[in-house]
Amino acid sequence: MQKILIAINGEELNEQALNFACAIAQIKASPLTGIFLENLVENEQLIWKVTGGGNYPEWEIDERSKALATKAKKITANIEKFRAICQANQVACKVHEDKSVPVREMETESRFADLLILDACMSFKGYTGTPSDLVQQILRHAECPVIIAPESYTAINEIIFMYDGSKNAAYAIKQFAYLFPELYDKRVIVFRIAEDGIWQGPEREQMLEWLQQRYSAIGFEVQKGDVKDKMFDYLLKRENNIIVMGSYGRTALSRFFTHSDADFVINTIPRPLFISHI
Amino acid sequence: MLHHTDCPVLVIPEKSAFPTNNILTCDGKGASIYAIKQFAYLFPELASQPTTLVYANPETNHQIPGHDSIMELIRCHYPKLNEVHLDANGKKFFNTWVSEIRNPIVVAGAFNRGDISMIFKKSFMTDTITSHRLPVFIAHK
Repeated sequence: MQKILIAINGEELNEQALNFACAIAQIKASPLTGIFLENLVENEQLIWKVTGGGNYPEWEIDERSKALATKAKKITANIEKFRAICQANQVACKVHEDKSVPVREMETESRFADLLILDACMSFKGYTGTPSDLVQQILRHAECPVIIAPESYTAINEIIFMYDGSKNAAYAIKQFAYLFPELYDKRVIVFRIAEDGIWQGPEREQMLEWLQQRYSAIGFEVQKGDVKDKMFDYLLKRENNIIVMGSYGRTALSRFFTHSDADFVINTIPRPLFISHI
Repeated sequence: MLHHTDCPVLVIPEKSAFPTNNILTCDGKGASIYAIKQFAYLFPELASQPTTLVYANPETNHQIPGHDSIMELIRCHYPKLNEVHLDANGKKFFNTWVSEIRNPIVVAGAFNRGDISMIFKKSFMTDTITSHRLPVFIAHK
């Protein structure tokens, strides 16, 4: 059993992402914890406090405001919906309501979790891209592996490990294998871009040796050329898979997501994407 | 070598029996939680053995922050779990207490070189590890 989280904007529940999270919880035979995020700091406004010693302004939440009441209603309805969808998928569920700054809340929640599932577009400020600014920040600070939920999901019959020779890519592959020993019978493909389209040598052998301890159907797909073009062509032709990628460390993650391959995959290829970084 | 490895490391004394009890050390910070998770992923078989979570908050005598969340996570992996909270005096008795546990393995986390040397030189586990010659599982990022 593992502790699996899904981050949800309390006011906007993405049903596709939730159904995907339920499918993952079923694979792991684990309960699903819905983290309902609510950016209450945004609701703070300048209020005149009246005291015996004089009046002074203070940033506070106006508990009686209509906006806050509407928001609370929406969140309660979404929590009900979350429970109903989990029940329909036969997944046990829990709810955490986090009312402070979403990124900070997710950092702590993810520290005490095995896996976090995110909807790539989750945002409190309307559309801010795919992945959204909020998702990028959560990814940067997450202390457990993250899966970006796809728009639509049928099954996982194949695992594609994107390996660029980096420590981070190898780390992500290991974390995926540790977290999902249940997928040992799925086909595994290691995708790599090499200068001349050939990847040989001890590193390949060592990786094969490690993979053979865990999987029985292993293939290597080595191509040459532009990473994004090749990745797009290859991944789009294949279906029902999960893509596993590393990233370039916490401090450089924003840079990574601005120009990165993971950003490109999230934006263009509708598949579940597993990201884990050192 | 510990500093440069890219995977968790098991430090084993010259003579030791196969572990039948787990001792998880935790200060509530990311490194210790990371090690506890990695041990469970790598050794799910050992995780089902009797386990003691020792948490020490070196700065105060209070409970570690996020205690409930920590327990929620750890119980998922370690079904036979005991808790021990070490206060400032607890360090003294810890050594004696460990000697009563049969064939333990210690799980410790480290995020950097300083943390690794701390496990062996300065932490509350140091005396215990050296005097009882216990196997230690170290996971560091």
